[in-house]
Parts: sequence; structure tokens; C-alpha cells
Amino acid sequence: MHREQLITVLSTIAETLLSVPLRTAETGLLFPDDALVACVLYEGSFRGALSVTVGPTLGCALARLMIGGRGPTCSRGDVADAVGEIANIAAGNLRGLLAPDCQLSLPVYGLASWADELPLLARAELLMLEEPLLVELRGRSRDAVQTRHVQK
Amino acid sequence: MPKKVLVVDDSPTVRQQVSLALKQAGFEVVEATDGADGVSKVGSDPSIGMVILDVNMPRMNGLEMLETIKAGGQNAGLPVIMLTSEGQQSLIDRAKKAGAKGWIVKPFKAELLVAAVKKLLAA
Repeated sequence: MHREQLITVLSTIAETLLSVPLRTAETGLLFPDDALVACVLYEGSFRGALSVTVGPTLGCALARLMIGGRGPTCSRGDVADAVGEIANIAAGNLRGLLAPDCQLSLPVYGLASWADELPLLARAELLMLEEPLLVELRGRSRDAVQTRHVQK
Repeated sequence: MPKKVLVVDDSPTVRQQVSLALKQAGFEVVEATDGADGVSKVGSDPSIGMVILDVNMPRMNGLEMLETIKAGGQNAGLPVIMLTSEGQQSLIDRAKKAGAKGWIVKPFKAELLVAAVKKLLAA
């Protein structure tokens, strides 16, 4: 269920913000070692993380597309900010479906260790400009966290 | 019609994106990196005629900035549009109560934002 919602949100971002097509990948995605992971954390009645992973080629393209293709540079900071904003938009749009009262973090880079241990709820392997784009949603409701602790 | 718009967002990418759209529509733009910077800019530049304001920012978030400038003083009448990834009704209600004139959810079409700015400045 969440996978379709991830794809819908990313498709809307691709169409509205970037004016580029997005499609699902038919095979597993491969990322270079210097791929960037931008992550927005949910805290509250739902604890989790939404992460967006891109390689440097797509990251640079996103940074330029988001400002109308006018970006003269493609520094690591430009790319991180652009990908972080995409993660922020996606996380914000999905929040109402997860737990409207939870809080969003500012974008962070690299998945937090605690988030890495949370169950994977949805994973969307996508292609944008023929480059890989991975979106993952991890997390559990606070009730589930409490239940798990009681069971230990 | 005042034509200077303050764009407050912690993301340089979003600030550039919004600024570009507004400049192409003929507006003068100043930028602030968070709510605290925004309050400072509003207080020091009386020619600012409108504010485009993100919500989720460090130091001072957009709702806190909105409530600060609407709390009184010479800038209480400044029109403010919230521009954010947040579509949560409780936040929208809080912003409306504080005096925000609009709420646009990202991702947004630049034309929509420019139209909203024009409409508010003409009112």
C-alpha cells in the first residue's frame, strides 16, 4: 500500500517541480559508492524515516532542475540541499497517511542508525532521467514500539 | 502596489526557485534563511510588502515567525503565504488563526505561487 503512495508522491514531485518523467525500474538499482542518502525522520505517534537515494549524476541534475536548469555549479552542498528538499516534500506529503500528529525533522544525510533498525514499510525503485532513484519508508507506530518493548 | 517580497526558507534551492519565479514576474525579492532571520529582515526593511514562508526550519519555524510578526507592531498587517510540504490541518488552522492569507503545499507550480502573490498584493 505505501509503495503506491511513495510512487504517487514522487511522480507528483517529478511532474510539478522538475518537469521530468519518472518510471519504476524493472530491475534492481545499482548505486555508486558516492551515492547520497537524504532522510527526513518522523517522531511522535509514528517513528520512522523516509529516505531518498541518488547517485551524483542524478543529484546534480536535480539541483539544476529545481532552479530551472540555471544552476551554474553542482557542489555537494547544492546536491544535498536539492535531494533533501525532495525528501522533505515527500515526507510531508505522506505524513497525513502515517500519523498526522507526528513531527518531521529537517533533512539529514545518511540514514540514522536507529532508523535503519526499523521495519521497511515500502520501497520504490525508480528511474528518473534514466538514473536510479530509490525511496524507502521505514517505521512503526508508537503503539507497535510499546508492544514490542512489553514483549521483550 | 508594493513589489518587494521576502522569501523565508532554510533551503537555498527553494529560495532560488521561488525568487526566480517572482523576479520573472517583476517582483523584487529579498531572502531569509529561517524565521529568526525573517523577523529581523521584516523589522529592518519597511519596503517589504509580503512574505512567503516555509514552516519546517531551524532556530525559528515559520509558524513562530508568523505569530511573532502578527503579534503586533508595524508589520502585523503584512500579508503572509505559507509554502510548505506540510498539509496537516491543525497547522493550517494555526496559521489561519495567526493571520496567514494562504497555504500552498509543495510541490507547487510557480505560476500558482505568482498568481497568489499578485492577488494578495492587489487586494
